[in-house]
Amino acid sequence: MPNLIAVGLAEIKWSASPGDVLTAFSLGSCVGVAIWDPERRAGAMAHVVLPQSPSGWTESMADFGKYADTAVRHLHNRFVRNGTGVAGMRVWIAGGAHVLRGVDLPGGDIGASNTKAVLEALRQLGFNEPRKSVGEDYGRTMRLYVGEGRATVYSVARGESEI
Amino acid sequence: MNFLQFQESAKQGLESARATLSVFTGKELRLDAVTTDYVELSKVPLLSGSPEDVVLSSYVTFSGDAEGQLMILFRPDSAQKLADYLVPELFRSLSPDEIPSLLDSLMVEVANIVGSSVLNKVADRGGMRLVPTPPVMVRDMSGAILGSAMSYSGTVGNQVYVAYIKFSLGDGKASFEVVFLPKPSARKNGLWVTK
Repeated sequence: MPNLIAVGLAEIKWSASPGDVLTAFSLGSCVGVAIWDPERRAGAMAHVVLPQSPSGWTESMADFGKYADTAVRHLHNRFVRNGTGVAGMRVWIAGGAHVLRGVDLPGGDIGASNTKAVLEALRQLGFNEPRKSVGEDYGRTMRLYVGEGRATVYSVARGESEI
Repeated sequence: MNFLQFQESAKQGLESARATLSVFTGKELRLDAVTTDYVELSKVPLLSGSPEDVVLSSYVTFSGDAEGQLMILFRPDSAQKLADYLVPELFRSLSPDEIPSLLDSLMVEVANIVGSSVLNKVADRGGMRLVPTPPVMVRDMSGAILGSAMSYSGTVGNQVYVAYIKFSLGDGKASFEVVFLPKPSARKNGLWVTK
């Protein structure tokens, strides 16, 4: 029986237990970032809410997972500290949708901004190009099967499929 | 505006909406319970049960003296119960494939009445002008809708304000949630509710 670990808004979770399934439920404009280390067979997932940390943000604020830049940097630093380079990692991202369709918001399409910011941060820190299920206008649940090194995405209309 | 004032004005708004809906439909509706509380950021997707549960959500933004969002979430079964109670003759005459779009339209009207009543009472209490956009209806996972709204609110703190209301119906209960998300910038105009 898989052990489902929920990764809530603005959270980052880690696991090296083969039975664990890291899960970011119902991503809308948020972006789930999943990273898996094939050597250690360990993985991590972040549930990013906003593209950019505010000016004056410091690590003492601890909400690393909320912003694309700080979440990806935190993931990077943690893998590097564990003695693993990031070049061989498997990377997936999901979400970044415009769920509130029909609404013209002053801030624009935050889902697209989140996706762009996550991709940019991953590229800057040397991660592989991620597999993606992003954009459009529907919610998704992202799962990382830690023991298998695979990620899936589930939506109401489309069911579950590999990313 | 303190938390008690917000609670009172939200409840007055819901009572006003109940009365309006009763008059419009000729059906007696009772406002069962109103609970208003703070919710942590990470718990927002759980407000309507499982985050993967599908809900109908009416969504408006408001501007004027303060900015923010107001959502009203209906579970499909509750929406259907409410519709069956309010306008049974209408739904009996429809084919099954016609029901979802009419249900959405009806819920937009209900949400419009509830949302504008709540906003008006909160604005009156705060001595401000709040102008809502026309509502749009979204049908998706509740967590995806609520999480998106959180992102758009730009909320930097970890608490938002939520009013729950329940209408009592003849042989069952239909419940729905009102989610009130002022932008942080609303703080300067007194709409950032504090305990």
